[in-house]
Amino acid sequence: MTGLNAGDSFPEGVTFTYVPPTGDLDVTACGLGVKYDASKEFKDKKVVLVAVPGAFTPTCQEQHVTSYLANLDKLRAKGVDSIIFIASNDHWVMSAWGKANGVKDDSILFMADDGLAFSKSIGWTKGDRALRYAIIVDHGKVIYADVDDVPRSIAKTGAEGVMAKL
Amino acid sequence: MADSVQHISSSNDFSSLLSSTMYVIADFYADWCGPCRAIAPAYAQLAKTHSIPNYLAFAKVNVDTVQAVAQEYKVTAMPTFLFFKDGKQVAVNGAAMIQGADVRNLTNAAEKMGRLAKEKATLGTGSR
Repeated sequence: MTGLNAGDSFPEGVTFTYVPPTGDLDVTACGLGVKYDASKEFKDKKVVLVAVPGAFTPTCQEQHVTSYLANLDKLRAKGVDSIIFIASNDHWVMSAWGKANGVKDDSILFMADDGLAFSKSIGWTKGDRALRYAIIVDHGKVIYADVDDVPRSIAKTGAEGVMAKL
Repeated sequence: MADSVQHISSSNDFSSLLSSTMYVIADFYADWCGPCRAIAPAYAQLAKTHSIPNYLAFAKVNVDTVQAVAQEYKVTAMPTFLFFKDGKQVAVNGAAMIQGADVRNLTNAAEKMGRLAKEKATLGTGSR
């Protein structure tokens, strides 16, 4: 199976690992890796799932995350409950990436696609990194899924591109 | 001097403590967590000052070695301090839990529970 298509049901059994944000407690508390049952959570939410080749890598950092940070209110206004970034990095790196971007709450969640399991299951990987893709899941149904295959482009998976599909 | 803190090694251990002791404060920590190590001496001191056998116990739960208990109480930030009365989770001073190495609030909570436990112990109610 290559990719997901609008109209598909989001697959069962998809889990990610992440460190729940500790907000302002940052220096007085340590986060703990928790399993996030994506298949279950996506059933009653509108979620934007964004995969990037790597935390802290240039395009991902300079453009991708920043585009979502800049458009948080607009995305919420369109009914988006969760924005989740995943990559092949482990949950500690993803957690640090979130903090590096000043995200202290759950406005954007940063999770590990453990072993690239999910990305591999939909065939959207290149080597040992995920492709740059975005999937909108609305209460269990995929309403948009696409890949940015032009290097350094976030036309299809950046906040603006995704908002046009909401 | 004996360690006044109850080190929990399993879910059974924790349930036993909850059913044998009226008030329990539990410190969910990890060895690799700096803030947990920082607050440990204060916690041990509070345990020494306020513990009353059967009435108030200070427990420590290592989230890595006793994962089941950490997951049961959905602990995601360490240290997290939870409070129990008669085996059920309760709020103390309006807080359902204390997250982070907050010595001031932890001390206030321990003192409050210490007072409650002492009252009960003196009255001799709830003896097990």
